[in-house]
Amino acid sequence: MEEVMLGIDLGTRYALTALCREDHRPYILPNRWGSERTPSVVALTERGWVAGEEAARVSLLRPDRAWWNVKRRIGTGWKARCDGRSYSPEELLVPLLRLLREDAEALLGRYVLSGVLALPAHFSFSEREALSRAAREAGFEKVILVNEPTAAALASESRGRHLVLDFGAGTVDLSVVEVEDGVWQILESRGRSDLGGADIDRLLAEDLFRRCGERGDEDDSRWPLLQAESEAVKVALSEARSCPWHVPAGLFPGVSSPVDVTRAELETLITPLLEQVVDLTEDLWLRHRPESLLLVGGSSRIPLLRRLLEERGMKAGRLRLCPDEAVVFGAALRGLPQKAERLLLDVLSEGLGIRTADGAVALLLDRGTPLPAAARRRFVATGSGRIQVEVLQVAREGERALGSLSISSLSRGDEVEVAFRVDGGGSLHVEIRYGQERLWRILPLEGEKEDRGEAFRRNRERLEHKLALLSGLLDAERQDRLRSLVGKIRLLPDDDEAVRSEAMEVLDHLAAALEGEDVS
Amino acid sequence: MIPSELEACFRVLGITPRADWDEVKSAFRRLARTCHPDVAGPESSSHFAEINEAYMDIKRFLLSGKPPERPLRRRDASPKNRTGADGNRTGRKGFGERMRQRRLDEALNEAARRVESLLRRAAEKKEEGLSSHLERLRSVHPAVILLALEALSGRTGEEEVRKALVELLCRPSLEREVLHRALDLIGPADRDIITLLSRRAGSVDAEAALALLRSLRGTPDVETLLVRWLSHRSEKVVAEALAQWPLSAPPPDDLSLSRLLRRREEIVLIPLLRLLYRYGAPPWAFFSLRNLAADHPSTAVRVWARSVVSQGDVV
Repeated sequence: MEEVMLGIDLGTRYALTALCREDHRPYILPNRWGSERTPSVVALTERGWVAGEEAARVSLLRPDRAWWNVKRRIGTGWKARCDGRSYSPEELLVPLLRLLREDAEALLGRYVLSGVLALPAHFSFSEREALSRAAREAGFEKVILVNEPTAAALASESRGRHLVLDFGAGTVDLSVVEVEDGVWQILESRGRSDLGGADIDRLLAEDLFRRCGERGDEDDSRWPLLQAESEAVKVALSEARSCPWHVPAGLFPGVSSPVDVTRAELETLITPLLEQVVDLTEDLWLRHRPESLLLVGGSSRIPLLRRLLEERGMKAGRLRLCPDEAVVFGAALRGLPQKAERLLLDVLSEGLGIRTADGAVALLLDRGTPLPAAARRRFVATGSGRIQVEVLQVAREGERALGSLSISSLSRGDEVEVAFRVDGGGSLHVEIRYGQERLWRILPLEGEKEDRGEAFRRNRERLEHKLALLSGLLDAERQDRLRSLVGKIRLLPDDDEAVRSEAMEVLDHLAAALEGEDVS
Repeated sequence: MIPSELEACFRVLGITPRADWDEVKSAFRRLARTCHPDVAGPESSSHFAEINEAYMDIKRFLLSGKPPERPLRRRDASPKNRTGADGNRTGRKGFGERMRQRRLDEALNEAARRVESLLRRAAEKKEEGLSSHLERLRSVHPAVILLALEALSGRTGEEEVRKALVELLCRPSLEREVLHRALDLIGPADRDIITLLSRRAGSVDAEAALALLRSLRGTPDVETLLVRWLSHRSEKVVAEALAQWPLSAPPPDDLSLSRLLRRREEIVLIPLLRLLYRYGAPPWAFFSLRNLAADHPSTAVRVWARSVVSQGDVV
């Protein structure tokens, strides 16, 4: 049977899943509650973790034990605290991803072992790695990552060059894509995680508090309910000119219900926020001059956004898709095997480089380099002793450190070769050679929980390195045999203790034999 | 004017140096259709890297007017770090050296054999995919658990599977369908797993316990399993365990008996008294039996207790 590749749009507010039919047309999978959208919320109850609608119910009663908006907190250092333990955003997403997988399995009547996860274009390598680890933790054995606007572009039928604006609940993402003869080539991707529909809900919720004669903030016990109400009013105002808000009974004693909210009032509140989205879009629009603009994501329905875009000469084209579904459809399509007739060429959304001795940034890979990408470059040491090589992700706004590798014992004038390789799945491999030494890592480099597989990999690399050094003593034929052996060992799975220990033994023996010791 | 280094890049893409940016992109896409590692397999990744590099060099030049700052063909750069290792290779080929070579070959052969077997084992294990089944068995979604149970049929002999099934059956409020499928999977013949479950009788849900006990009917030496269920918190389970107590076996031990005689539920007492009637009650039990005969609210209990007592008086 063919492998099931589940397309997942893990939104800030709602998550969706989709699959491709045999004719390559995607369709949405409903969840266990019969709904196409699963609320992106998790909660810790006395029965363990729950997610989706069950967690949404918990969030109304016990907002301190439920977490919304987890996705936009990835990589911010934020932790959820509960019962004396703290949880990283990645950990919080595991129950949600598990729920999505299980709902698909229950519906299909078979296991779902692989998934395509759409994520914001601006996610750094550490954040990507964290998400893909969460997916594996949730029972996916194979995970492909795809940028959200890229996925949306893949789902849209448009030809030529277009700009995709994905405006969701928590993030704004943009991609410029060119489609020609079945090849989708991304020219540039950008995004921000601090702008989204959830911020609109927050502004409106604060306004609703004010209308009821109170000052409310996110610590108020009524906040979760009011935010949910705001979302409903906002959605209604995308269609209607005004919307009566029925104050939930007992929430604000003495306030006469309904309170009328007009679209104009909402627009005054949110114009500054939308202007930022429009600025971001205009920047890409002017540089790439696309033929059309496609708007996807729930917040793209806001009439004011379309009007503001149009005022600056950017008219949104026809999408021929539900704006909420474009990303998940694209993710499902990305799950099909890449073929000459249907190929997605994604790019690096931010540049990659290292920090040089004078504090400047030496760029190895440019933003916009097609994936898989590789680059190597030589540097000359300006000092002696221990040197830290800091790996940087370089965005237009500045750079972020991804981690660093330390080189011991270097002397002034030594040559150091730094090589970066980014594979199609979006993980970064860093290799540093100096003299006879070789360091090799997959990002993220630091702040990692070390599992046993990780320790095995590191140990294996150490032995591989040793073997590579010793193989200089061998003739060409034996060198080849050794290389093929090492390559095969690298293919072994690292989740089985018995396999791991035997593989280490084999490598140890080889190293001992090469050193000329007796290996009887 | 196109710098000469760039002409090589245009050649890599198979276009003339006079091509404009749109033509460059088209050429790049055309090549990607055949050379992208996702299409052509991982062997083509170095070829694609070369195309990729040429494309980016041209892009930088055309969009900014700057010629590439790095040497274009990095492979031509002096491979300095090779020399050290090669320098060591000059060696006399004496007898000792030949022995060393032979030992090396042996080590390589041995390693090759072991790696092959490891790869085979890993492939087999992957096919079995036990971890994915167990992960699904731990789910709270009944449909997912059912899928896992279906996939695991015929594999209850494996230690890991047994443990997981016991964990599953010890869960509170299991869906009825899941429960019955799990019990079907185990079957009464699987003594080990039932022994494991009986040891944890206290944590098994009443419904699961009842279904399990019913499936035990007719198993040999069943009383050694049943005795574990006599202290279950549900009176129905206790009653079922007593009802299944075989005719041929000795009665429950004194400790269990004394505990059971202190209970008041009719459904527990009647099968218990029936057992005692058959085997005869130990002398210390008569005090409680007389009490039951005298003042238990249920007529049936009073009648059975009286019969056990009168039988004891005769003996």
